[in-house]
Amino acid sequence: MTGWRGLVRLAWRRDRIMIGVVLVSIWLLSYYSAVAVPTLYSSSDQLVAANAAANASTGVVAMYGHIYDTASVGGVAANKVAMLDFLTMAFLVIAIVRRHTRGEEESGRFELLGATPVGRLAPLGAATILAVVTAVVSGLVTIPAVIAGGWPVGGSVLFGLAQTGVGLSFVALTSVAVQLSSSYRVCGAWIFGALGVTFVLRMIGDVSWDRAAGVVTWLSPLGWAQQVRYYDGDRAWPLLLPLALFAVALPVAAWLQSRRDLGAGLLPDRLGPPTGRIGTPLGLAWRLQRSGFVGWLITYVILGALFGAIVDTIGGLMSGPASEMLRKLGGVGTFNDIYLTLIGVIAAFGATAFGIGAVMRLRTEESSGHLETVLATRVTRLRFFASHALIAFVGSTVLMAVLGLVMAAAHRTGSSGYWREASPAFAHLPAVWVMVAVALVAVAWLPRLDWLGWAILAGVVLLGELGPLMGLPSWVQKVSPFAHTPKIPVEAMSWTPELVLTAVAVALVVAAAVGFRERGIPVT
Amino acid sequence: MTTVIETHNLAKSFGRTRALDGLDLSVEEGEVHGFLGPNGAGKTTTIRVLLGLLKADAGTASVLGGNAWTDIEEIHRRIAYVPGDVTLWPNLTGGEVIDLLGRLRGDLDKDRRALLLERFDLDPTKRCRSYSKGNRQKVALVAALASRAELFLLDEPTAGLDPLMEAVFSDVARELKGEGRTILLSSHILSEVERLSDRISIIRAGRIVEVGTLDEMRKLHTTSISASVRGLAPSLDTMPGVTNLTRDGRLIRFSVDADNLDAAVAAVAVAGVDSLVCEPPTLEELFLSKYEGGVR
Repeated sequence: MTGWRGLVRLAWRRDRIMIGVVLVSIWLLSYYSAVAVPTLYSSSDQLVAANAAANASTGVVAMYGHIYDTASVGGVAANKVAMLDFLTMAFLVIAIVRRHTRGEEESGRFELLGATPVGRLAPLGAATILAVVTAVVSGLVTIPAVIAGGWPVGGSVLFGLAQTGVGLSFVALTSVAVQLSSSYRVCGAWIFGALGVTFVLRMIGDVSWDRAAGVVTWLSPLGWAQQVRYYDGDRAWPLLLPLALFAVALPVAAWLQSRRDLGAGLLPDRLGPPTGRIGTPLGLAWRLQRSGFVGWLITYVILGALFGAIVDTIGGLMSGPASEMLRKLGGVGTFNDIYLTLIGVIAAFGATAFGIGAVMRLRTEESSGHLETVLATRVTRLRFFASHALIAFVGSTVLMAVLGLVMAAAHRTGSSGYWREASPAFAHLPAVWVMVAVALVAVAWLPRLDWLGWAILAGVVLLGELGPLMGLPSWVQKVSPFAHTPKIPVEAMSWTPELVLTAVAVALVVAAAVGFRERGIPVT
Repeated sequence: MTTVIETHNLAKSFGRTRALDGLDLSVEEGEVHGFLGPNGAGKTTTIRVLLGLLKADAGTASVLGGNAWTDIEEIHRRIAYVPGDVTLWPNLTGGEVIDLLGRLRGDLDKDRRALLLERFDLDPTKRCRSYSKGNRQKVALVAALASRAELFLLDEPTAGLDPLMEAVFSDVARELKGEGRTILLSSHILSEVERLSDRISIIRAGRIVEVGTLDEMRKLHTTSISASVRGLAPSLDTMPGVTNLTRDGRLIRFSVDADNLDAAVAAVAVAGVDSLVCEPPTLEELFLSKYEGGVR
């Protein structure tokens, strides 16, 4: 561990803006969510009704968890913001640990450090320390933020500590994941896969909270954090679970690290083919994005089957008064329809993330220097641009189609019609395309601000999830393209917004193509 | 003889940095043209403009008779390129990268590829992430040299290669020249340029400051002479064109320009010579003389 102090300073120097922005976002988000609650519900009856309605909707429970005490002040608002905080925290610590361990190692920069009197475990230790401090500070500052927003003190302390617990869990898991492969990307696939699995586990656990299957919640670090039941029973002992995971996983990571060679993974690199068959820019783009896309595709098939299979359990999960309440609140549509609509929106966010990721690959090809080599052949900029853009658009479209079709197929009995239940996934496609096109514009015109695509997606997700809760003016909420696509089957299909959004997407792609053709390459 | 690369008054700025400042470069068909300059002089920027990757702010750049910015497809069909900083796709094998670039260029020559793999002693089955710097360089070299391109743009092609591989590269470059191909060889490794180049352009702060064959350049510069003499050869002290004169006992050293070489040697001979060493200017000295006082 010799030299870890210097490495922590280096890591902080490189990440301080990212960490600062994310933490402030978490704090503001938490504070405003707490502030918004009294303005939404003027009486405690309304609060109970809203919590009951949230419990009644499988979609809401699947995303944010079950509320055990419907009189909970935090209730659905706390569950929502907690899940967003948890996921943000998980992504942040994964990024910190992965960047400063495997990322540095693969880039070869470690070699430079390895020649100095820095201990073998110092890089892992430094990355872990920075990530843990980040998680602790984030949780501790969240506590006064939500207390100031008006939530009870006891629950707020647990609310903040639960967030820190999620951070610790994912620091631990990431520190092991980065030992597994010599590739930064493959290590990323392992840890993000693990995050996905923990989310699905707690989702299954929450949906079946009152049945035997509910126990799977306890397999998920996200589930542990929820089971602290801030404002909803307030129990501190599940906070010990992340500490236990941390205490077990970190020595494992250190042991793996101290046994292996610098730059190597647990699994050795296999030799590959001596000749290649890739011969077009599209072939190259596909080869680079193939494994990522296949991962997403498998996830979407599984989620589609899962979502489809649990449609019918909704009725069983709802008590009579709760369903009555939901009818009064929602007004339109059956519960199944509301659920399908929700799934459509969430899946669209995911497909957009895939699309933006595919666009960002175009950008990393440039910043890593590969693009220069490719453009020195007779490949034109437009062909190169088009091949990655094609994968972004076709890929996200296929994901949505697969989700809709599998979900509708998995819902056998009591289906309101195959196409009717598959179509919600398709309705959001034009909005997905607009988002992907925006990311393309950013990469083409503002290559140094290439993260804008991600930032705008994050903004749109927050608008969609929290905009109504926080009572933002409707024109602000309408900025999101997803606010314009029809929420079928709850709403009627309407073609005008779909066509307008598609036209906007096309115009943005043309603008991006023009920008990419005219600018200097490479911008690094 | 046709001109393969021709730039006029090329200018390119990045923010406040002026990378190219009125660059006039001319490369003739069939020659190996050395493109010499220290780090940051604008070599890579020039090559990127020639490849149509960067758009010049002013001036013209023509490559193989076409406009470097607009006629990309036509030009790139006929050129091969080795970038200065070779980065490869970490999860593809070396063989896959060579074939990919060959196909994208449109002229994959399997026999030549096999021959070059053997000559450069490169294992094509390894993933690029596990190659050393020298081996990555070899992948880029094989990919470029296996082509039937008319023009090769090589940006510091031997960076990271061991002397044995440098020799292989020099052999291949000479063979290509023998076949009438043109090579623009950008480098700051003077010995390499000296060995291979027919003509040399020296770039400094975004401008070409000198062009010519090595012989022509030498004529413009001084020869260094060291002699062991019996007398003092006092006329050297006042002779025009003589610089850096030092006397150390009987050993006398000085530099003299081409016009006064005659008279200087005669002056030494008059003093009585025991031994005489006469060195033509090395490229290094030519280069340094262009950079005296540092970059503007």
